[in-house]
Amino acid sequence: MASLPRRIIKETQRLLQEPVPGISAVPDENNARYFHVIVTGPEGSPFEGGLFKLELFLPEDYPMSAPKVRFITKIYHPNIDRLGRICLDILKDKWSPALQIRTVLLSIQALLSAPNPDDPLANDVAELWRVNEAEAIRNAKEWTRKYAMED
Amino acid sequence: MEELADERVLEEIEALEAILMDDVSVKKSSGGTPYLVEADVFPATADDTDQQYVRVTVEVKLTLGYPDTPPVVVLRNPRGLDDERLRVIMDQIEEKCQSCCGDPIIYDLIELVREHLTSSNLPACPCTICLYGFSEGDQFIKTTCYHYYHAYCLSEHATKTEKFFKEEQEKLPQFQRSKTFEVLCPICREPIKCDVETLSKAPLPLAVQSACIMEPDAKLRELQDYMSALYIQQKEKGGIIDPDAADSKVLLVNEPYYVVIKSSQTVNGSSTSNSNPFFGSGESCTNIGRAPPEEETTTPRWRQRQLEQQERQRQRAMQQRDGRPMQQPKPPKPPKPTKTNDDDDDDDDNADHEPQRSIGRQRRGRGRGQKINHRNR
Repeated sequence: MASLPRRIIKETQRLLQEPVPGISAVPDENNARYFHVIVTGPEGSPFEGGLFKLELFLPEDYPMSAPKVRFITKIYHPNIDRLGRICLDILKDKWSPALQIRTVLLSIQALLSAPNPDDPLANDVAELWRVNEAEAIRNAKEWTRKYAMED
Repeated sequence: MEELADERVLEEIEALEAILMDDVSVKKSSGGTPYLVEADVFPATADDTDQQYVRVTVEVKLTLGYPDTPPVVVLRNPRGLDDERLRVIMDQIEEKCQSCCGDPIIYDLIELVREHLTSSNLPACPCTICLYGFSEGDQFIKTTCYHYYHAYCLSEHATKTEKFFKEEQEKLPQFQRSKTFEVLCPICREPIKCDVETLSKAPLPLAVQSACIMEPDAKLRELQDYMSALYIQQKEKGGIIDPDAADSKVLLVNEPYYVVIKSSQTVNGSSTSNSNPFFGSGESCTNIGRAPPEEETTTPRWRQRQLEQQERQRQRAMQQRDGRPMQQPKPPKPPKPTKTNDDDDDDDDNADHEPQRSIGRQRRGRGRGQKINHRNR
């Protein structure tokens, strides 16, 4: 832990002291670059009420490179594939070192509020989202209820 | 508002306008009585604007009885100043106003603010790259878009983005390539002009050198426990993405290819079981399945041996797949959501497969635990 970059320590402390509402990110006990994350489904979205687990990893050259993030909890969303991988520009070529763990997670939460079937990662989901949005939303709600809600 | 302006006030305003010229603006009522003075204040740097890192607008509202009653002063549009510093300045302004009743004091107030800015001509906002502030002795940059970075931090950013730019260019056919690379401001993405070579000679920011180390506390442990408890709960409901199930389909496709290394038995204790298959694959749609290049070479030899062993076990397991005889799924409900669970959750879903660049025998699976060890040594 001694040689962990200062910035990561600072971000971690702030995440714990002033958590973002609806988002929780906790470093793994064995690896301070690995975060266990919970993002709550945004109000008014089909994911409302769900607690979605994600994993987030800060690569060697973070913050010059984007964190690696994926969903662990199953989620029915056109921009998130079966393996939980997320299609989001700031995780790829639009990454900027001025972004942080908290801003990345906020963007992911925002993605839940604004699915974009025209830029799909999960093709079957996106297709349904395009041709029959009502049914897609029903599916998303069903998955949320089934997989992401606390008992 | 008095119709007839106080002589003292008129004289003072005249003097202010003569001294400060464009930096001051005076608003007057229809009768010509001044009631508001606004002054843009910069640190005294012999008019070298490049060296002015902070600024603020002082707004002085002249009260009815001014100068016998104190004016109302507000600081507006601060740049590079944080709340704390603004509060210190405001306190001194209040003090000055109370102690100098009866005298025209606007010029004194402006000078007071200017002295403050000059003595601490350093942006108080942190550098958004390292998240630490600017200390005396740090080399830093004010961009044309008025954002501040340590020279060191900005050079890291510039170097990295240029490298990325070149790599991306090489992937494009000749006619689509663009020659010009621009460093973009990390905050607003405006192009910035900077000389990377000079920047890169700057030393590490002082605050970064001296920051303290974080120790996990009880609250953190509690959160970690909650995380693993929730994982278990979702796991039981089948809500956790099962890479095995996904794999069996993905395997039919050339790319992406995932090697399943079946190892619920845990090689060498729990630490090896933490590997994280998806990192490196959180790519956007265009690049699914491309693995991060850096990791290819970093697998230690001992780990490779472990992986080979796991691979053999996997193949054995595959042969017996129909009956699923060897590796039973985990016991349904572990007693407590503590350590054991934690181990187990990693075993099962995260640990055992890695995105591959192509179909091949070389594997790069490795434990989360190891990753940090050799990276942070």
